[in-house]
Amino acid sequence: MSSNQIAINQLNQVLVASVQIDLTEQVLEAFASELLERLHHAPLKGILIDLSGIKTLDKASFERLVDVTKMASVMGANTVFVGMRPGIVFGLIEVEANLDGVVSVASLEQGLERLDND
Amino acid sequence: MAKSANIPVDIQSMLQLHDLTEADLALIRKFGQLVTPKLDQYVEHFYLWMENIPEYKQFFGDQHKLKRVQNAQTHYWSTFFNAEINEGYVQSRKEVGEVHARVGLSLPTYFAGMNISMVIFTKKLYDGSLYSDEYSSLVTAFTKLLHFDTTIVVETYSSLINRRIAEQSEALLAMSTPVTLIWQDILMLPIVGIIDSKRAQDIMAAVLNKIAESRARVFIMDISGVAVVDTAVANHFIKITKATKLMGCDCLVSGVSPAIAQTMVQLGINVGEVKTSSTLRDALENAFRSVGLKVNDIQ
Repeated sequence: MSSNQIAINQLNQVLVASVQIDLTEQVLEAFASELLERLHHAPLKGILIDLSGIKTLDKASFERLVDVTKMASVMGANTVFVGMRPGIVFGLIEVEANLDGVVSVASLEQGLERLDND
Repeated sequence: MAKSANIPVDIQSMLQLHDLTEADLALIRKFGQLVTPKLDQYVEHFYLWMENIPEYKQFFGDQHKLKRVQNAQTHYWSTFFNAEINEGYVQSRKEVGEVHARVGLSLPTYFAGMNISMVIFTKKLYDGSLYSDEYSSLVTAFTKLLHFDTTIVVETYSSLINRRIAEQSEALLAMSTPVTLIWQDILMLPIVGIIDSKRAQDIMAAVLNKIAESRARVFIMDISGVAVVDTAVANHFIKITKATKLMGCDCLVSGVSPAIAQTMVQLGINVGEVKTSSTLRDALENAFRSVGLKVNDIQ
């Protein structure tokens, strides 16, 4: 199994994943397995996925990422996306990506607030 | 031929396009020796004609201006009869086009003016001293060079006008998407007029950039000024609300009129989770509440 290239940090009861590289199939797979593994080990309130570091995101990768968050949700942790760039949002809307159940905020602070309220 | 070697390639090809040969130019120079001393008479004839044009008063109301234009005209025709086609010659014709475009002199008037000038030179001022063969080839050469000039003028004129139109539509676009931060964390965009997919895209781009820049948390879209809401327009709105949500910004739609509400329901448009309200006031209250503000009476 390839090692996970997306840094995952824990802040109190929240996991913060900071995406800095393009999401390929392998990257996503490794990320999913580490994320779910960590959820399995300790009870957590939620996950923040920081997308502010990437400039491009295609529909397939995005939907795959949303699938990962659904898996996490089955394990009891809600996910909030953080800091999507206008360009990415524009692109995703244009290709009509499925956005059902996607929660997104502008900053980590707002993300933590959001998870607290859930 | 030694002369033409100094002429830039683009001007040479333009000369070729108008079938202007060195012989034509030589003929014009020869004719120029006849009429150049009579340029003052030309100006007189020209303004006799010009006075009957409705635009005359608008452009030549004051005497100084008239004098300046007459001088420019004399200069123009003396370079014309020198018939030295070089960069300076082309540049001065471009300037004529620029001036006409700037002051808004219409092209029909310009063409009429050029036409009447030609008539003045070849009929009124011509003293009959050329052989008839030579005279008829002169008229042809004259026409060619005149068309050469008007081509440059019209080209400059129309490119300037086009540029002006482009600038205007840009300004119109900026005016049509005034996304404003009306309060800390609250953005507002009143949409007025007709929504097509181009405009919807512009709106979306403007809104997303503004959200990224201002870090707003609530976005109010007021659609009371939208003339027609059909499925396509509603879909554009839904796309915009989805996009703002992805940016981490709640979208409130205000100004839903009875007519818009009826069509939306009749067309079976699913507004989803978007909060809609009939007045801007309701939306604003809603927005204040979600950023944690309260509006109170001053006691």
